[in-house]
Amino acid sequence: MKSLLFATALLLAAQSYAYPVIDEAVPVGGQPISVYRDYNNPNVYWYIPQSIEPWKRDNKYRSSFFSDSRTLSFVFRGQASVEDSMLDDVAKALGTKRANLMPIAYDTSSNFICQDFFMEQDHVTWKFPSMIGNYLEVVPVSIRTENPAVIDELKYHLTGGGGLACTVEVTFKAVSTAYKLHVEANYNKVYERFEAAAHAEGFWWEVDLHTMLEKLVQDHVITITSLEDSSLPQSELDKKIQAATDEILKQITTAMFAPALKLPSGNLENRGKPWSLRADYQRSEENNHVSFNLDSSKVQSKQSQISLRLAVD
Amino acid sequence: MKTFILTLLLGTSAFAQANLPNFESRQMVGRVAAFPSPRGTTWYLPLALSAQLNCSPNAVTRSCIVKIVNWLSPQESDRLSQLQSQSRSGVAPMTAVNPLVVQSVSEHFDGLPKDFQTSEMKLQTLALNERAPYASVALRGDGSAIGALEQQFGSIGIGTFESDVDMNAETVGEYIAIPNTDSLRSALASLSGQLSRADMMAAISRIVATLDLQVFNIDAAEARQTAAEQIRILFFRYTRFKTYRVAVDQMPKSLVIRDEHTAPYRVHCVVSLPLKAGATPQVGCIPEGQ
Repeated sequence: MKSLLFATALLLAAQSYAYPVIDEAVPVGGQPISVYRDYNNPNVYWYIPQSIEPWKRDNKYRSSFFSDSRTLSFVFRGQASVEDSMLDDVAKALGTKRANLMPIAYDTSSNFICQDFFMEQDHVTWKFPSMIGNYLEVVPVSIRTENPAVIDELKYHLTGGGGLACTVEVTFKAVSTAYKLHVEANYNKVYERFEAAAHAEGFWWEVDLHTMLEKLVQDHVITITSLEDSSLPQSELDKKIQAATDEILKQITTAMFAPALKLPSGNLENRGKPWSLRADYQRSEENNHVSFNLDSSKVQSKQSQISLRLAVD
Repeated sequence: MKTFILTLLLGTSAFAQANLPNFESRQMVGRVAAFPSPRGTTWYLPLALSAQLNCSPNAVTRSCIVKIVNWLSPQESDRLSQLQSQSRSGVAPMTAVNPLVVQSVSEHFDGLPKDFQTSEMKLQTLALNERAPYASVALRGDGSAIGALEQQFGSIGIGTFESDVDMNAETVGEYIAIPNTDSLRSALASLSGQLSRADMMAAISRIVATLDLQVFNIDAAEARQTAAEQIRILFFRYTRFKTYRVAVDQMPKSLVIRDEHTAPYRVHCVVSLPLKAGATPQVGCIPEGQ
């Protein structure tokens, strides 16, 4: 089957840095966490920290809480966290060492918002960062008040009531799918169209190949469908097809063209490489229906959110 | 647009392994919807929601926080682990950062009492977390009204939290695979020399009867017959002596013999949790257009 010859995934060069492959979850049994493989290193896995919890990594930082009848002061020091026991179980399920599981570091963060239902009260002061840093950094938040009307309420929520909630938007870099497309074509018809429109002696310029390819797609001689999302708007699909055009053209030129042995006459500027239509192209039954998949990945910035549990413990 | 794929897959390219939630096989594992798939990952929608209410002590003015916790019970975790054995690549939670499966997550509180000052927090990430809230709403007001709110939370409830998830899904039809071809390889390798057609067919039947086939939506006997045909085509060569010889050089580590699936199509799931003590979420999923 000819399609099998082309079914190999074509991963365009992603940068050789360590990045998680975000659209392929690594199964970890029933463990309640998403784990991603590293793009380059098969022994490394990545996870997204679940939340920002009170700092417990070491004794370098500690949250402090003070309250009496007239004042309340809470200085929170948080860390991005995942339950250690869960990571141990994940490592076991993956058959790897715990040290091979890495937290995904945040690239940027913004819109730090806390559940501030005392905002209309006087004398309640919140201080929280406009953004947080990466995984290893401390997240400082403080609340101070001298308003006796809210001291007891805040004390309850921060010390015994489960904490106050905050969220922050984060971005991180990851490898994800640029496009997954399925291409179908009648190669015999494609060849005939190229043959009919060729310059003298069967010459084709690279720029004209691109134009002709667009025309063949418009005329449905070549059909391209997305394999990843049934409801992509046409504009999104067009963008993906644009990104994949070079790869599709490469497949077609390999099958039907050879580099031109002598340069055609005329202006060469901005017209790309010259190609000659292959005279030995075989019009076979098999070439009436050729199909292949194109699969490309690239490093992209992904957005997510993380919650903070603002509590003493 | 739907893509119908009926193919014989050799090797294990990333594309061949990719799979979406197998919608037709969905089952509830406690509070969460799981989509067992023979093709690859068994995805589950990780919204194991429950509500807790914490209110500050009696005073003229009081405040409560309704905390939505998204965390699997030990029983749910165990049952999800058990699904591991039924799928090709194991079990994994969907996440909002995986664009291949989850298209959008939208969440909201509905029907909250109107007489309180409120402040809402929502994550919309499908992240599971035992301690930090997945969503929460704070309500502050008169002490006696908060007392009534506490009672209402313990009886009829104080509203709902709803999560709407749009995702891509697939339906797996007939599927036959040999997840591990080691035993097939060694059995075929033991058939040395030239074989007549009758001897070859008998040998294949014997070997296929002992194979650990992964079969889905197809009769076991038909699956073995199909597997036997494919093994003959793939791993036997006709010789000029009108006999057959074994050729296992190109045998992959796993072999998909039949993979029929319809994909992708959009499914809309709604998970609705009453804000009420001890309430469990209702989960409903329907394909778009139905």
